[in-house]
Amino acid sequence: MSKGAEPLTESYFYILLCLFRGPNHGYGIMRQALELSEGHVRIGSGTMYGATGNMIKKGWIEECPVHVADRRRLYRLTETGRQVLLEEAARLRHLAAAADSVIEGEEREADREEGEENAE
Amino acid sequence: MRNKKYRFAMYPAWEYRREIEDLNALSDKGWQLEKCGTLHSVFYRDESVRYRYALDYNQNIDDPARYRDTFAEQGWQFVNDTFNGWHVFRKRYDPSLPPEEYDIYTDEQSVQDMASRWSRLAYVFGTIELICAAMNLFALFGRLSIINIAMALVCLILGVVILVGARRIRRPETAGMPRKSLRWCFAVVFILLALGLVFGLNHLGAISTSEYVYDPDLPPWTWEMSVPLPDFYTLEVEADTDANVEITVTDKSGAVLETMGGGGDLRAKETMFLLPGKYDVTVQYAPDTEPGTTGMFRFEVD
Repeated sequence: MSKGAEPLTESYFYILLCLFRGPNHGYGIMRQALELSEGHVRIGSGTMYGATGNMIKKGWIEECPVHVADRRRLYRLTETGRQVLLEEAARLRHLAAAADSVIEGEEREADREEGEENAE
Repeated sequence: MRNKKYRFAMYPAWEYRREIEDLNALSDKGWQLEKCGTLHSVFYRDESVRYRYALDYNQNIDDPARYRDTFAEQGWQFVNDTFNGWHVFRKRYDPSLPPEEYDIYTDEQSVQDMASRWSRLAYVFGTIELICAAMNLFALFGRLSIINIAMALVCLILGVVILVGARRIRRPETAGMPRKSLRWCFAVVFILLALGLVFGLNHLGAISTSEYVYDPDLPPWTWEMSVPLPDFYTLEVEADTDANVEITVTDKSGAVLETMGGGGDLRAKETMFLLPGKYDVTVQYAPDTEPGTTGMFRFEVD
């Protein structure tokens, strides 16, 4: 993990994720994040403005130079942003794997004990 | 039926959720917000729509066009902003959509970010108010006066309310400070401010200087001073004479309120609480004074 990196909030993570395949606008990001998270993550306008503004400052995303006539602004991922997203995804996979190894191990043990009790 | 409605209502910043609820309720009743102000808001009549409102606090928007566009994308119409950094948006209400559709801050982090943008400023203002209260209290040691008491209380109440609010805006579940107690706070502050203004103008200061030659056949020299408002007043006396003198302050019934005396160069300062009315400051030479003795007297009341 790069120096000083902190876990991303869900909103930040989904915004980066929704730009991974190519440029997208705020509304598109919001719809896609809602879909990918099965309705759990909704990114409101205030959160969206703050998060995109912060990430533009950090150089993770940038606004596409073409200004679209319908006032929808397109954002795209920078190389840094791509790295941040990949590192965060790796970190989350690592966390999930660690959780699985403990929780599933415990559940297996519980199952076995239950099986033994039933056998008695 | 009237088509406009003016509503005077002041919501402290940490009650912004309640303000949104009230605006939504008014919209359901057919009153649509035209302009939202800090003290008063304007509504117009339209029963054909229902809106849901959002209030955003953001004083430094680096990219105003991108800000508005980001809200417009999700169906938020800009209503207006206030001089102190609040932005008002509305969205057409669709009962089939979940209530989260009408939140502009959708994660804990960004809710807290908005709260701290406001509370950072509130901590500064609240602290300044408390410093002002302390300064007014210290001024009371030098000179008792109603204006300083009033201003110390005003600053103390405002400082405490603002600092409590700065903590409350961060915690939505405790955001509701009883409305009544807040109203009382504002009423008290308003009355104290009015008092402060009246009493502040009261202290214009009166000075009297005179030379007085002792003549046992004449009544003692008096200076009449009039007091417009009940307050603490300070009488400063400077007397330059070779004789012993006694200076008294009496009210019109003749009751002696204050006595200062001494010989030679008398310098005295007394603070007393006086009710409105007229008072006499009397200079009396001691009975054994040689007739013809002169003295210079200077009185200052503030």
